[in-house]
Amino acid sequence: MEDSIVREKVKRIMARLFKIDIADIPDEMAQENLKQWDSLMHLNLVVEIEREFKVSLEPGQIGRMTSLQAVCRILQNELQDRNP
Amino acid sequence: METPCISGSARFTIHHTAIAVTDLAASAQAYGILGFQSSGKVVDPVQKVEVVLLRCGNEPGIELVKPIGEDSPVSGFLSRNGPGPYHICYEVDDLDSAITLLRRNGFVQVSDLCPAQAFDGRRICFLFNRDMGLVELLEMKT
Repeated sequence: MEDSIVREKVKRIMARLFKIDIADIPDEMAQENLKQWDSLMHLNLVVEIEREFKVSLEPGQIGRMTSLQAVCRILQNELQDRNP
Repeated sequence: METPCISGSARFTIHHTAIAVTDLAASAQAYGILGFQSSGKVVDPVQKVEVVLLRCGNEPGIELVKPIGEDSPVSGFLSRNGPGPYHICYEVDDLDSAITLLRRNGFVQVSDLCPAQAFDGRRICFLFNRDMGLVELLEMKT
């Protein structure tokens, strides 16, 4: 899956969960910069990502998903491992 | 022994309910009014919590959980909700199979398997479900 498609899908999930406009999600968005992205919302984000992309993430990966870029990078690795 | 819930080959028995608190002694005293007896405090540096277990007869226990430091996973819960139920722990006879079953059914595994100081080093694992919240699995005594 192309990077831009993954990023847009993740942004759509984030916009819905965090209740913000998708246009207000910059590519550089990080957990530390968004109050709504707390530990509980992070778990909900992971649930939605696993469901959307049909992946199963490991605890270490979940802990490293602290920014939009990190989420997309980890997701791409998972998707490529699944479909090399 | 409680009657377990059975899903496929996995058996889930409620072991305890964890309550996030800010003051272990005060909460233990409050539960004492309901007849619960408290154990000594256990410090779990892996989970970054201090724990006191409460028992009342053969009922499932209550685990009072106080965070150690702001980076404890319990700190965010407390600041958001105040003291209250944090998770339910289920004892399972086959931890690995139970984790596999839950992950196949939409649960996210949020911690690696690790020994729990408060439960004689038995392995535990935390999972999250959007419609249930946080769940702890505890492997049965061998």
